[in-house]
Amino acid sequence: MSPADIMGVAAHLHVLLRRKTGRVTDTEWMATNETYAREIVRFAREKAASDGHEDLLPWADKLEAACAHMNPPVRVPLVQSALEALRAGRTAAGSPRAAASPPAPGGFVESTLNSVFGSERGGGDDPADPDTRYIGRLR
Amino acid sequence: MAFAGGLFPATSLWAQAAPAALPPTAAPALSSPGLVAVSTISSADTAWLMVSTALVLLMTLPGIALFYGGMVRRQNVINTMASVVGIAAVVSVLWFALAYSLAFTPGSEALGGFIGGVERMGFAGLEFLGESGQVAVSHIAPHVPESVFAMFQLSFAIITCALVVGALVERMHFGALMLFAGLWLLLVYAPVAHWVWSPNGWLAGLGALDFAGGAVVHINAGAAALVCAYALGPRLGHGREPFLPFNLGLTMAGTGLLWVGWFGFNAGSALTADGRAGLALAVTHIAAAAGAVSWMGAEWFVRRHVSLLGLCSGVVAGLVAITPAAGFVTPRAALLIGLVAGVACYWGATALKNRLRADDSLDVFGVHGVGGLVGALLTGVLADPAISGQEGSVLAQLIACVAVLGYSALVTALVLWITSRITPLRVDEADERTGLDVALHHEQIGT
Repeated sequence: MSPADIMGVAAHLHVLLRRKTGRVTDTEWMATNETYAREIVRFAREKAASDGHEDLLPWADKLEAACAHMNPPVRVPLVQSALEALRAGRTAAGSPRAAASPPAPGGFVESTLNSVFGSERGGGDDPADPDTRYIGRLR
Repeated sequence: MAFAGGLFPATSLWAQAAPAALPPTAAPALSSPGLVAVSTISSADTAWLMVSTALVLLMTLPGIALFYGGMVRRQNVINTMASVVGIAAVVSVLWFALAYSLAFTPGSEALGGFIGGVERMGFAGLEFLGESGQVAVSHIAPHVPESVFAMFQLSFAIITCALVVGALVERMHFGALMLFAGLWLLLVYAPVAHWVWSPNGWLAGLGALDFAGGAVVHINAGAAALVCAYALGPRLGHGREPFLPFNLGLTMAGTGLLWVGWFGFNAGSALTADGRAGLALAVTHIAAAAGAVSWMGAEWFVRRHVSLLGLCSGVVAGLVAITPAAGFVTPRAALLIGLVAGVACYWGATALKNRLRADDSLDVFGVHGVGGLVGALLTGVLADPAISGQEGSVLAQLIACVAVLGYSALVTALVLWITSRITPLRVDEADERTGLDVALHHEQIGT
């Protein structure tokens, strides 16, 4: 499963959980951190059982399957991570360029020039799934 | 705001139909704002311009506020609407204080048509002297009171600045935005308006046609929006999380107000209530409808469905593209302009957006920038001399487009840099995740 696929599953679950249970999750973290992802799987299944939201189950299964493809967490010494955070904070506060610089990885998937010429014709988004329609594009 | 400096003497450039509409007692042509007898004022034209002013203001308040407010996420609706209202207020005060004078007075000859003078600072001299029967008029529209002309122009300045909001929603500090809007008005909008619409503006002198603001409003705002999007960077989660629009019903209501208000925008730009204004109104409606039809077709061809947002976007695309052409083209040409604009702006808001890789959140460049460019260039091709006596020149149009695009992009970057030296442009990550409504305004939209 590619990182983009995992992100898609996480985004689905993020929206469903927010809509069904009111819980706000971190999509990016869910797609990269196995521990967090497993906790979300557990929570989704618990809510499916307790509140009858069975549509959570297939996405919980998909996320669980994706856990095997996630990178193991890299352990960083506390002092090092604190220094990095401090440095990042300073840069963001001192330079507007720094705040603007981190580019979004991926995205803009559906709306490509190729799609205009037919390669994604009719398949730009799934009409039955309005949530993914708004990932990376509005129109 | 019809204008073509290359073919006509400076005193009759603005309102092309004005000489025929003026009463026989009209005062001699002016080369700068001044006082004239009240009897020389055209009541009908004045009334139409006052109505048009209200219509154009309605496009922003609440048109743009609703149009944009409906497209952002629930937690940023109030901030988006507040940004539009705040900009309207800041721009109005600065217009009164300085910007009107910079845009619409002749200025020093040494500046070569780049910027106006300061003699109308604080609306100095915008007099109505009932006792002596005199009223101030602009040399650009000597048949209506200058107070009305200045307010009509203000409504254009407001909407141009408000359009830029669409590129920076959901992440910009409110205070930084207000500061940016004020500086942008003075350093970008006022000079560009002077270039194109002042009789001694340098682009007007080249013969560039811009009836109601294809370059001054739409290309200008589109370029600025793109630079803002690059400078601010993408919103957190952009391209990874679904950004559900709050309520596209609001966007549709905003589109309706824009469509109706655009009659004042384009037909009002004739500055007279005459046959040419009527033609401008007709072509405006035809182009809007054609834009919606062709966007609808493009969307169906590519995605096999038609969306409400697509229809609304197509309407705006058609309206944007007909703006520079409204007083120069026939209804058939307007249909063609609308059809081309619908497809071009669909491409601009999807494929081109992908190539540009900027989080121009509500597609300001894709719709207004691309639509403005399409309209400006097609005006050069399709302008009918039988309507206004003015022939289009694609070269002059191209020069105007490049000049406005380049100047706006460069100086917008400068204005953003100045703003960032004073206050951070972007909210911090926690505030962005919380949503700007609560984080900045301590308010929430209803459930």
